[in-house]
Amino acid sequence: MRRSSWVTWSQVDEGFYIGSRFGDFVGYIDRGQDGAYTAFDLSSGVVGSFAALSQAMAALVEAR
Amino acid sequence: MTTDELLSVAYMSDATRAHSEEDLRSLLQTSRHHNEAAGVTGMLVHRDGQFVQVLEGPEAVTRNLLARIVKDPRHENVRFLMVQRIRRRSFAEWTMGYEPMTAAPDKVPRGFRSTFDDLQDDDSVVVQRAMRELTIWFRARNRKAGSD
Repeated sequence: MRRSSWVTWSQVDEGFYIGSRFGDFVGYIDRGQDGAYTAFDLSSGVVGSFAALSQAMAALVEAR
Repeated sequence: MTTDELLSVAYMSDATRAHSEEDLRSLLQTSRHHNEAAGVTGMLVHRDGQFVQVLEGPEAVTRNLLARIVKDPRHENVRFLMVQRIRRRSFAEWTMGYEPMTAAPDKVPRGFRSTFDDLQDDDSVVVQRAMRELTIWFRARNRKAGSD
């Protein structure tokens, strides 16, 4: 099973998403006004900025 | 006061009428004034006619405040999401932090859960996770607003 399939993703607000795995949060993604999806770890450190939501999700999964 | 006397309560309710942002800010000003004197902290989120509020403070004070809030005619259908004794506050920096949330999005991406829907789930584990998600969102939004 791929690691990404273990992550539960939630939409909190429009353009704001949080991933968790087995009860632990992996980080969050915030879509900016420019349409870019910025992935943050739980210390609010920037993991990266991406054109697609799926890319930001993958970056958070890989960062863990 | 010892830290283990702190109570945290989260509830959801429905507005009885439309509230403008100005109405809400006026309400918040009054509540922050009272909360500061009473040692209460927390957050308020408003989305599409629904409120989610977290209150944390000394147990007796918080329970008295809740009794008043439940009777407030500006909202109805109060549903308690979580009531727990805490050792440490999650919103120590806010006498009542506030963030408006976008109106209910038309669609949640495929395969995603909706935090707002999960807040009303029957499973307490799901509700707890949704509350933590809401807290992370609140802190991120608050931080972003402060840096703009």
